[in-house]
Amino acid sequence: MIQVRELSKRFGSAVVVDGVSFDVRPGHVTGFLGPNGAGKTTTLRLILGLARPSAGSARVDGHTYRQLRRPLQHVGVLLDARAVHGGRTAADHLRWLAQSNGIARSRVHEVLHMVGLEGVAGLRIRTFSLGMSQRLGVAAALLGDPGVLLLDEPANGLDAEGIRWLRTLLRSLAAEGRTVLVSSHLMDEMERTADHVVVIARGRLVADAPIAQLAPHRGSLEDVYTMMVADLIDHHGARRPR
Amino acid sequence: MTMEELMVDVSHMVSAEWTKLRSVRSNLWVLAAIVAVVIGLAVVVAETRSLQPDDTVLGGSLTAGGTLALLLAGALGASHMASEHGTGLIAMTFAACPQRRRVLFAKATVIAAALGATGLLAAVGGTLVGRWLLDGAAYAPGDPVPAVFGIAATVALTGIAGLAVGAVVRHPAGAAGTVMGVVLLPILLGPLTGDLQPWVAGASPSGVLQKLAQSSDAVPETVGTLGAWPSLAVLTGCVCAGVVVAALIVERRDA
Repeated sequence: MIQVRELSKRFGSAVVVDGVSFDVRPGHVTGFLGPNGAGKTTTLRLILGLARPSAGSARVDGHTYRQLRRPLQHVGVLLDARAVHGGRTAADHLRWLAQSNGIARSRVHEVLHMVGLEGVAGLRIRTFSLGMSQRLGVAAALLGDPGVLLLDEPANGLDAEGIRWLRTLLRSLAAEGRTVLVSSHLMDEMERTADHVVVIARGRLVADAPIAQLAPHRGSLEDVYTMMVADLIDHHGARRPR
Repeated sequence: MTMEELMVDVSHMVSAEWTKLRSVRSNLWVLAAIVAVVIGLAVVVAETRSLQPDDTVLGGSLTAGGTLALLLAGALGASHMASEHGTGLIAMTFAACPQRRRVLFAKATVIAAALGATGLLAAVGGTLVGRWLLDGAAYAPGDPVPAVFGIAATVALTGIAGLAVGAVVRHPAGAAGTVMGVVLLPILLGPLTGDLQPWVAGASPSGVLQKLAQSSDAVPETVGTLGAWPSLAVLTGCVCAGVVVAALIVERRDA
């Protein structure tokens, strides 16, 4: 369970997240949608305590992220699959993460197997394609067998088979009762994967509803989404000055 | 959280940082290079007999290579921290351990352990090689024990200083450049500071190294009259202060 309450973040005069409140409930895949620069990644970083909110709060299972002991055993995180040290092997990358949170070493090979990277465990990450890096990022998120998953654009760079694999994985993680928040800009894929969507644009909450309610017909999410954010965004997709 | 739980969590982070340090090949090359430059320059100095008449064998063998070792140690410390900012890995590190002071402590521990051990190996190696090659030459030998331990500590402290700089500066090249300035500038620019020179250079990493190695360079006009071990204590105090400042900044700043 993730609870975001009146969360705001300003950088100088720019308000990047503006009084956003929503809950992410267990047992569902919740899609986190918004145009480029809407504040999705900043919201995720605020939830993880990587940036300090200017106002409001974010809690995971009732605690702020910094209060969690061994946080990776509560929350699985994928922020930027390319933000790794390319000189390290995939296995070593997962090994230090496991050690940092007291996670059994055997989990390293279990998660590599789950994401289909067991054959390249000993290769340096800089040799990986973007899709392989995403799989490694998903492996890192699964390492601590967490009840909550926060994944920022995990489908980026995945091929058709990879996207299908990710969809199945996310749905089964939610079916096990986990809380899954996944951001994406791929509407069609979101419609297939998510049960619920949270939409933000220009830092503000635009929608927070079950997908069946927002987009009752298959293929209609993109139209609904475009309409929702249209009056906030000009036709070039750039932000309007306030 | 009980004290035992805290100790367990801190030791987890230390082993995680140890894995990070040893799993990047270039880090191991830097450690190997520290041993190689100290022993290599001990050979060069001895073979070319480029010691001052009043130099000790120890000072001649360790001062030149030791200064280069300090530069490498500072660069390693700086890169161990700043490369995480360069790649963005720092977000994952702080997600894994939101107690950022603990991250700094763990990094400082592994950097100090790796550089201390490497520095000791290099200092002992340089000393033995110098003594062997200069056997029978007309130089005072110098006292290697406990000087080599102090030199190892100086190498480790310079690495920790690099780490603190890397945590504040965050840009890998900027951090490495800054820590090199910390090592070299007091010696290079000291003469420009007039009467202040012994204060500027006396407790700098390279000044402490000269004193510990009993080099003829370590004259009161350049590095002051403060003895080798008190100078090492001053350096230790400065590095600790730097780490505290870095910890305060890292704790407050958005990652």
